Amino acid sequence: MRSSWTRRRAAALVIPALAFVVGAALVTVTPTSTVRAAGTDLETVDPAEVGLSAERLERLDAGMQAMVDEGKLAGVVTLLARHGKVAFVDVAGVQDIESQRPMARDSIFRIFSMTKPITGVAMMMLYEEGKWRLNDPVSRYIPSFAGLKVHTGENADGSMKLEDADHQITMRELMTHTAGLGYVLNPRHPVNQRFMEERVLNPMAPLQAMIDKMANIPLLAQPGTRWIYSSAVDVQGYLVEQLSGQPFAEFLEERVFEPLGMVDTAFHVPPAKVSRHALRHSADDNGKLVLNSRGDPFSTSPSGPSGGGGLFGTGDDYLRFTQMLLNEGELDGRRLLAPRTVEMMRTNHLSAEATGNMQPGMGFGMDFMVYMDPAAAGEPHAEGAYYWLGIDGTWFWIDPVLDFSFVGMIQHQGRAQREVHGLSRNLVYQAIVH
Amino acid sequence: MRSNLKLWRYAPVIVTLAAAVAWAGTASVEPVAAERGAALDLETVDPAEVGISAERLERLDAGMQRMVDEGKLAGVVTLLARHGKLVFADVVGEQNVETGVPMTRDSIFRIYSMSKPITGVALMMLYEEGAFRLNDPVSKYIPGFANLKVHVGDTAGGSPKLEDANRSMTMAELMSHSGGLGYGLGAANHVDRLYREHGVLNADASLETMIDKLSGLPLLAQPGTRWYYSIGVDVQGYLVEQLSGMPFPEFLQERVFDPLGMVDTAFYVPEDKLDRVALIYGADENSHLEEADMGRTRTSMPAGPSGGGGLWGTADDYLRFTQMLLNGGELDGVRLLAPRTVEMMRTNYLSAEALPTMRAGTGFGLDFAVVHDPAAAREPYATGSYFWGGAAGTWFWIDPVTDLTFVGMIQHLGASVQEVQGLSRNLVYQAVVE
Repeated sequence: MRSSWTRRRAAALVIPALAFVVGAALVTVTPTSTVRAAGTDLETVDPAEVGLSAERLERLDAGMQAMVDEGKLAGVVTLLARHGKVAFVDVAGVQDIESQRPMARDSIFRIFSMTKPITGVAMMMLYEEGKWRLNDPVSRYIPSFAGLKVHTGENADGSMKLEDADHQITMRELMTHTAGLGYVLNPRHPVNQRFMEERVLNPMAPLQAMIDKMANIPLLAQPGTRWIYSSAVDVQGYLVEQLSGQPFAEFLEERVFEPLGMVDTAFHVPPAKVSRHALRHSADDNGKLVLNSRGDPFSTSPSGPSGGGGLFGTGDDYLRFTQMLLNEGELDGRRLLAPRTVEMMRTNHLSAEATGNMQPGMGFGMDFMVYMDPAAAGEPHAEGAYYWLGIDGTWFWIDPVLDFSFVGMIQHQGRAQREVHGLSRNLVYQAIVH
Repeated sequence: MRSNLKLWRYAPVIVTLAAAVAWAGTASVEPVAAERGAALDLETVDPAEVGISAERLERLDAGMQRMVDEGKLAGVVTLLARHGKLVFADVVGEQNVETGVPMTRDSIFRIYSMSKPITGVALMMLYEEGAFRLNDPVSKYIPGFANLKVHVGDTAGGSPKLEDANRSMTMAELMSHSGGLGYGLGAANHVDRLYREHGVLNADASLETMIDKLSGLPLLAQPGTRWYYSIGVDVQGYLVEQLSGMPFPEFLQERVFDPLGMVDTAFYVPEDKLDRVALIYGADENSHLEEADMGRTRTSMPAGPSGGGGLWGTADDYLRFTQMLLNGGELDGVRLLAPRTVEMMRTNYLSAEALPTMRAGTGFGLDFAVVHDPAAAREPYATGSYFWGGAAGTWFWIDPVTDLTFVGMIQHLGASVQEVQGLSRNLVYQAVVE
């Protein structure tokens, strides 16, 4: 086993009893620096108590460490909870290769699109209050969306060819990326170019400004016909405000983060915590790891908090969120959603037509991707597992059949993302032995 | 029960407690010739203890005996385990009808394609170490497979028409015979003919030689479109070497055979075990048994150990292998695979397009056929049973629902193979009463 200083200082595999430590690489518990209320959920247990092999978990630990040692990632935090208990915590590498500040269990990451499931949960809490229904037209809550057109191509003069939408986009479509709304991830498409040019997604402007601009930009496809990853979850953030009468960031804080004890999750990183912020890296032309920072995070909440990608948080915070979902809506006795609502969120809601242009074996629920046929998808997940990820590489999944969830935190742009995600899936499933 | 001398001499049915023996013809326990450590798994029990009728098992015993008495087979060894315990072991007939050497419980058989699941387990052990992913292109590990052609038919002039492969076959396709590879056995198509002309399958040449030859030959179907029984598992044997850095036979010995106590399974039969080798028979034009010319038994390690068909072994050895799978990856406390990995191996991996090219009701997992619709397959298996067989008639199945596994060993080419295999399925299932 490796013995680099980062490893000795930073890598902790949680095993409460030293008697269970099989190999030299396994270090004892590192307590969370964040103080939490005494809870019954997510206590740390010996892996064997929840059907995991400590010996086989060493492979996961070694695999994450190898990603750092081989210079592919600056640092990684991974957490695994099964049957409601934390059975694995691994911290490897550094937050920043220049300062060499070590990665810590409470390092703060920009989770980008892992914001989406949180926004989705907020929306579904309002759904449970009877504020909206899945088949409602979005225009009931955003009147300016009543007349959205659909882009069908270009005219000879370069202007957009448009047709009427054959129905108004529905709330279900908004929750499943099938409304046809644009985004900024594929900037070549003329609709997405409008998103870029008009700075539709601008955290410095209020969410109302985003909605006003979107009302004048056509859809990419007829509603309900295609899954197109979109700005729909930013729209959901706006709707949380409209339906709750509360600023979006405030709703999340009061109704989600505080009840779940997600103490470090927010649309900004206060100055007191900025030393815990892990920086983004990427590989240069020679494959060498370099700092590729996005700059300092917001130190106060931005005026346009992005429900699709604005949050920062820790591995432990996100694990509390995924455990709430795995527990069918509650954590430590605090209930956010009913079991049936969580089940709805992890059920494929795409039409047969839209499912057809997903990856094989995949469907989409409400703000989650769902594995309907893991063999066709080529993944070890059990059927019904659901997941999402962030553009700087944070990832998680929830497997309700094997009753566990996994959270991985990195800040990296490039191929190492896919590699570490795939590797974690191999190495987690092989460690579950009962 | 017949009372002929041969049965009395050579057909011991294993029933531990003489008191439980309900019928006159049953002999008492014969210990396994190969010495094994004290084992928790596969201890011999009275059939009634695991829900099997001793009286009905008589039909299985009589059925196997009849195949020999009617001159259809020289000899048979059959074993049945349920709930992890051995409940039936039957040995009938002779290893060698000319010399009259009796079949014994530790007779050695060439298991041919029953090597395949063993190679598959080895490869999945490496999967569990993170060595590859199921969606990886095989060309990631075998660069020569990057730009293969596909034979799509012949021109009017009779010359072969080739097109580019749409993509590289994936590891999952390689493991489910749907990558488009041929085999080079008797089939009359262009690609199999090319394999034969180039001597692709040649145990006297190295595995690298096989890979080099395959890299220059076309596929017979686009990857993912067709199930075609193939050389893919010989390729897997090569990959075990590449991914583990260990010679293939050494990997199997250290990581599979030793841990499982498969003491007589190898790519050759050492001189001191040659007297245990059962001869391979066929039927002559008068339907009399006649020794088949399948080449001599190897007495030393071949240069190119065939992952698809190179192994010899005993029924007891193979039962230890199948019981390991039925146990979700471990035997006697030694774990080779995680339960989810075994579950993946027995899940259909054929695409909707390729599935109809497999036999009715049957899909293909990772190196196993999987029965997803037993009624359509016209077999008594429970849904999810998985199986394979060898070219000289050896056969097995694993039924995770009924929690049983059966291994049958013969050395025969011809119609009797199908007959004895079908008969065994009727007679095993009717004996399971609880």
